[in-house]
Amino acid sequence: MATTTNYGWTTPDDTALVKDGASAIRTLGTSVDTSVKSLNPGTTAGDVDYYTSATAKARLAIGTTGQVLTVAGGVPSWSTIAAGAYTSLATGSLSGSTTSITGFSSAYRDLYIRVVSPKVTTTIVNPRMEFNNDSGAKYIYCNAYAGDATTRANNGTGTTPVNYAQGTLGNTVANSDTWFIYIPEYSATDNVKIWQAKQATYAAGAGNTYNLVQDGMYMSASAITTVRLFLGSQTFNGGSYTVFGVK
Amino acid sequence: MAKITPRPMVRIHNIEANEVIDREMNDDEFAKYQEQQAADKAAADAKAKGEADKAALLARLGLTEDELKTILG
Repeated sequence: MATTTNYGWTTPDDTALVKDGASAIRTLGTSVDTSVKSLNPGTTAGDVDYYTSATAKARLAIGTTGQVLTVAGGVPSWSTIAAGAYTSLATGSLSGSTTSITGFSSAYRDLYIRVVSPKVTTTIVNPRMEFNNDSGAKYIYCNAYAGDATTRANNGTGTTPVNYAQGTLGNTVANSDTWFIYIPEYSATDNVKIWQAKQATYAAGAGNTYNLVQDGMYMSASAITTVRLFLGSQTFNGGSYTVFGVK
Repeated sequence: MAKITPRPMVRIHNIEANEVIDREMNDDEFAKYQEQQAADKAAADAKAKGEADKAALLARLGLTEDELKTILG
C-alpha cells in the first residue's frame, strides 16, 4: 500500500480494486483523525500546545493565576514568580504634554516605573506625577536635592512633582536623566498610599548635574490604576519608560 | 474665519491591552491644563518678585548676598 509523504497515512495503490475503497477510506480517515488530534493535544480552555519534534505536539495545561511562561529543559512550562522578583510589564515612549500609564495588573504587590532620558521642549521644567487622574489636594511630599551648584530640601502639597527642582531636561542639553518611581502596595485600599521617587541628572554646565530623592503620600483609599506623568505647560519631546510589577 | 489652535496632545498607554492612544485634551483635561499653567505662572512671578525684592533690599543696604549670609551667621 502507498503512504503519504509527511504522516505516512496509508492510501490505496493505483492498482487497488474498487471493492476495497470503503476500507481504504476508513483507514485513511482514522489515520488523519489520529494525526490531527496529535497536532491539537489541548483539551481545556487556556491550554497551550507546543512542538516536541518537527511533527509532534504536546499539551501544556493552563497555569494558575499570576504564573508566567518560562522554559525549562528545552520545553515551555508555567512558573510561579518568586517574591521580590521584578517582571517587566510594558515599555513605552513619553509623548504629548501628558503621558498616562494605565491598566496595571493587580497580580503584583508593588509598582516600579523607570523613565530614561525624558526630554522636553524647553530647558527648565518641573516634571509632575499624578495618580488616578486625581488632581485634588491629596498629595504631600518632601524631597532632598543635591547638585553641583546647590543643595537644599523642600516640602509641599498639591499635585506632586517628581522633580521639584529646576531640572535641566531640555533637548538642547546632552543630558542623561533617569527617574525611578516606586509605589508599594499600589492596589491596596488603605486610606493612604506612599511612594518614592528618585531623579538623577547629568549634564554639562554648572547646575545641570544633581540628585533628587523624594518621598510622598497620596491620601486616597482607591487602588492606583493610572500614573500620569506631565510637565505643567510643557511637552515631552522624547524619553521612554518601563513598568515593572514587583511580587 | 477664526483659527482654531490645536489643544495639547495626551498619550494614554493601557499596558494590560498594550494599546496606546494619542489624542487632543478633552474639555476637562484642558481646563486643568489651563489652571496648571496659571498656577505655574503665578508661582514663577512670585518667585521672580521675591528675587527682585531681595536684590533691591540688598542694594539699598549696600550688601552682597554673601555678606548678608556672613552677618546672619
